[in-house]
Amino acid sequence: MIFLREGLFLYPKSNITGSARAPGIHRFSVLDFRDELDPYLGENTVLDIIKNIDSGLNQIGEFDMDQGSSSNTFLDLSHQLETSQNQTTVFVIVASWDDSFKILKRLFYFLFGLNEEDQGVLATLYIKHSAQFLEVEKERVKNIGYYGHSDGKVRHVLSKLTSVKSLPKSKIGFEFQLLHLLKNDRGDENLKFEERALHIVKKQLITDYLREVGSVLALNHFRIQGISDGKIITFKDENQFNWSDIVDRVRNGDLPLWMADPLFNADNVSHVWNNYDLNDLVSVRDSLLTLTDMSSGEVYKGISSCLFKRDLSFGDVLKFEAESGITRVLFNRFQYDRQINPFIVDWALSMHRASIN
Amino acid sequence: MISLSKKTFLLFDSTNADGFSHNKLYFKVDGVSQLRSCIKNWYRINFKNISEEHLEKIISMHINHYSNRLYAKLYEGNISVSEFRYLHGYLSKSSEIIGNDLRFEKETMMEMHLEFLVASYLTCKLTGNQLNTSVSQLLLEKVRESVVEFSLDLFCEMKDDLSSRIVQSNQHLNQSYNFLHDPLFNRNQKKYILSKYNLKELRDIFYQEVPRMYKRFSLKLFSERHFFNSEISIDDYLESEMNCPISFAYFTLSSCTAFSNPALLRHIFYLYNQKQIEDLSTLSIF
Repeated sequence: MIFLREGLFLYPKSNITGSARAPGIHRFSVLDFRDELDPYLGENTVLDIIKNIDSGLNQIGEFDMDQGSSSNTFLDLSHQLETSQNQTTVFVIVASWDDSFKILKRLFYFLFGLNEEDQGVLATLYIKHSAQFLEVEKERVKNIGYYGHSDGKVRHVLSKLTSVKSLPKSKIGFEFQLLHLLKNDRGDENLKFEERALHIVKKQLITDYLREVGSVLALNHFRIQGISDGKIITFKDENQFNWSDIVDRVRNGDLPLWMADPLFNADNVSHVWNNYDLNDLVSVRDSLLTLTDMSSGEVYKGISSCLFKRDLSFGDVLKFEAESGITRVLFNRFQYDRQINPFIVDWALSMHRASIN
Repeated sequence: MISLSKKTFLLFDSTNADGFSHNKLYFKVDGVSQLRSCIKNWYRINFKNISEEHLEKIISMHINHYSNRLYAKLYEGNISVSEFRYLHGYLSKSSEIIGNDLRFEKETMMEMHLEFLVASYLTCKLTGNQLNTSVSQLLLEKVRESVVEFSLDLFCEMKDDLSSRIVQSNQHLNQSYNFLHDPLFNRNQKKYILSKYNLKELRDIFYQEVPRMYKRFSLKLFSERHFFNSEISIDDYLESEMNCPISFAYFTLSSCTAFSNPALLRHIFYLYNQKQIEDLSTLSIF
């Protein structure tokens, strides 16, 4: 699912048969879209939408592939999204891989006024990236010419994306907003982007934490005697398991409070960030990392630990990215890396590093 | 959903099953008493000599594992809070005990989870008896499949990071590794990767690149020395699992162990280490 603009997504689908089959436009009401700071779709929402599309549901029209008509369709859908009272509305264009390539080209003309060749270069980035997540036949993708642009050409096209002609900048993909922010002085519009991007970074940090720490502790808690001052202590006797329920163990003080808190998740960023001792969370993760290392002796520290602080700013995130050299926490994890193009994010960060060094 | 074997599942609500497929047996239960009764019946059919006391312990392990998996799913965002409460609520709901007339079948060796094959293997190690060739062969296959799947999953995670690093360090994509350009090199294409790529070469790339990778990889690297080891022996595998202070890798990242119960495996290791041959042998498939 590729993010085209806020509320509009593209779903390239390999089993649309027949060349005459026009791309369909589907309309959905998505509850988690109410998070006004995060315009991207949650993983479960994407799966639900795909299930509905595959069942042939919610189609409201067809996407006209004619160049002029395409721009009108983008304008029309944008108008509907801007004027809709229902903030949960999402449009999804479902198209074959060939048509998806063309639709992306039309979009980049609509957004940036790129010429035919540059549209193709940029669209290729998206098709190649999306193909990684779907069971597309490699040869088929290859045959329709999605490969072959040189690295230099790609970088040249990205360097041209300095202004947006058809939409407010805040409505386009975060990768383009990031490019713009790193190339220009910070304005009010960028401040809004920073707030939203920071929100997403926190969501990712919480999601990472729950996957890497929460679920591991849940599946293994019977072997854990207790967690105290951020340190995990396992039972010495290999059969001294504790079969109590996790909530009971939290009540007894064996396990940290967040393990029984239904609001401790990425949907409740403020709750997690404001009510928990972030240093303690980091200590538990480091303790787990150290515990699972067989070689022993080295004390681990999670790479993103320095971002777990109450007053985290977007400036801190950019500083972290710049200093870490290759590591990034911006937009490239889990659901975002399917909707945001990571190549552009990486390229933007790379340019940023080069400019400050 | 509790998986007693690769074929037999117990669940509270069919709408929340982890995924239905044909040739499986699903038994819907309405509360914890029925759940306990079903687990007991299944073990009575498949492990006839198990003692009542031992069985009660194993039932606790299954119920606890079910509860733990629900928490893990909640943390990972795979179920909502209300779904969690609804499903977890069944664990405190009493229900009529089911009699012995359920349609449980004697499972074939192929359907049994890895832990019971391990119990058979370890029993023979303690008693000096020769393990049935077909059991040892199946265990070896599962062990190797598990290691390769686990390695592939980690490697696919590394792919994203390597791609990113190459872009950010201004290297030319054309000079990078082939798999980075291959859209089919992903978690869902195990057969394709195994047929097209040399595991030893992938392993070499991993060892070359990982020291510079994120520390978070270390979370999964406790079995680093067996990474992509498609020739791993049963003993090496068991030694690695037995000495690991936390079990999780093989229980979430490999399709052949995804429904296995880490507590049960730890219990089997304990019986082996304590040389409790009698209890260990009652969990064996012979």
